[in-house]
Amino acid sequence: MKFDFILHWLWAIVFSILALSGIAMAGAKYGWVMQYDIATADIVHRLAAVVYVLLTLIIIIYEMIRILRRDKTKKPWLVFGPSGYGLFTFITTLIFIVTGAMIWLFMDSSHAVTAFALWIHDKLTYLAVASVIWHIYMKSHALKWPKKKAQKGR
Amino acid sequence: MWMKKNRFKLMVWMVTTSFFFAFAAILISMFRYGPTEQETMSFMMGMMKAMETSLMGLSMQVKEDANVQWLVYESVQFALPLLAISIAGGVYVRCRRKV
Repeated sequence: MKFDFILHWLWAIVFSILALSGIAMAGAKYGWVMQYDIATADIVHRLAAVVYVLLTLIIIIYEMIRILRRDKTKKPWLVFGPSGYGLFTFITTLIFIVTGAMIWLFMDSSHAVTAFALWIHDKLTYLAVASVIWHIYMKSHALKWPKKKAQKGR
Repeated sequence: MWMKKNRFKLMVWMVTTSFFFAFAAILISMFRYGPTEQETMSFMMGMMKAMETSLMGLSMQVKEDANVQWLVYESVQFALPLLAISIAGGVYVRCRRKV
């Protein structure tokens, strides 16, 4: 199995967990997503965020190794890219990480920083989830269920 | 081909469906009435519980621990030069190799 393929789907799973646990914490209107169990949502969100940052580092290191080796082979499953949706994902990921770190670090010390970072984190989530839906639509051929092989004897 | 195997397709369907659920949850929450008083109370109680029992509470304890704070400070002292070297190395490689 290809490394970029594994990274892509690990990324998708972790982002899905982050989106669902994050939505539950977005406000009283959204709490029903996780039955108002904010404590669990918080733990899940923070643990998934650590994996998310690690995956980001792995992908960046993988890209750097490819540059050093002058590897120009196409990696269709790679999460980040120099243009298109790969670039959008890269930029949004960096903003998610920076604002997430700001929320985590300044939650108790600076309400202004936390509020600003939360606003960006929150609005970017809606944009990112909508873009993922678009991404799924564009790559919907991956959803096609494999056809059964022709029965013997026909 | 391994990508056309049923178990792979099943995973694709499950992961993609979760995004549709997330999107639907956002839309439903945005455009519905409320929140009611009961929902607000449930949310606030959930937040209070998170403050006590989750990593949020743990991170607050870390902030009060002088030893951990010293460790974080020392780590940052190491991390910042490493980060600067990494960025400089990346820029050098990017410019030099012209990939």
